[in-house]
Amino acid sequence: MAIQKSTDTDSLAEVVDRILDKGIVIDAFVKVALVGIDLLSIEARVVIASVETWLTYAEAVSLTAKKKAYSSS
Amino acid sequence: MNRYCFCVIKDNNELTAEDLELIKYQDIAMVTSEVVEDEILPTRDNVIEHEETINRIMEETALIPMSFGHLSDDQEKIERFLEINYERLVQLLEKFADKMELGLKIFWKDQAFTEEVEDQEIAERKKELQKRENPSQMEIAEVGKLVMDRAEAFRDYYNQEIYDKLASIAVESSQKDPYDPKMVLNAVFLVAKEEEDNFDQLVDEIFNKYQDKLDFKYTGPWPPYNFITEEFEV
Repeated sequence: MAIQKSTDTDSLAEVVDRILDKGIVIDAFVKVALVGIDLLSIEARVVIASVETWLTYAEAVSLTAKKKAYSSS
Repeated sequence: MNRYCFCVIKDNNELTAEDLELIKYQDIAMVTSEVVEDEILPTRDNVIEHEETINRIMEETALIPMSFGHLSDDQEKIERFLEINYERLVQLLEKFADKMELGLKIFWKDQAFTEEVEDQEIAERKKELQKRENPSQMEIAEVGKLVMDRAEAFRDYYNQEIYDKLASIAVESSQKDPYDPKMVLNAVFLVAKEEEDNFDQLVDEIFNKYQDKLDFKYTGPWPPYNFITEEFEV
């Protein structure tokens, strides 16, 4: 079996990942309406704190924490 | 009327697309189209139009892609941008001539992740926590950290086996942080057109070697978005 590359735009995440924060950026020219950006919030823009990161790794071995608000206590 | 900016090209050939207009400075130009909106929404259609337009132009000439959503109501401002940054833009165009960006994302298949990453210590601590009624989030996170460290060790291994080999035939390459615990590799490569077949072949060899354990997502050719690290001014 052979693997072939493609730029199918059904892989929207691949496109968004590139064009939303890569390429030439000129601050004065950027006129992106922020409404709707949630629709496209993707991997690359997510910043997670370490504990949350570790929890995602725990989840990856099927160990899930009950959903509750974080507190420092 | 506003002008939407797609990319910068060498102004040595007219583009075939009629709805695009070049704003020129010396021998370089910004490829633009007229739009009525003052703001662009990042909708699926708009995002895809940006990408597909640039991909079409890429088939005709070397280019430097703009990030999504650049508009100007003043043609002179665009000319000024080209003028101020002229030398850097020309250098980038030379660097990108006859090259393409290729993307490779690799993920563990579920079973392989369990087999490789979930070692005895993790399995035991997991069992222990699962037996208990209500383990604290911190205890779960601690096991998660073990899983992460172990995944990192395997990523280092696959880096040598996969990334280093591919990077050796690319002009430039870089890695991004994995955004999913089961992600093995998230890499982009700038590859010369003449090396494209060799690169494809090497990806294919690697794919064949690991396809039982790993899922591959091989994409491109893309405009060289990920190889523009400079900041620009107007």
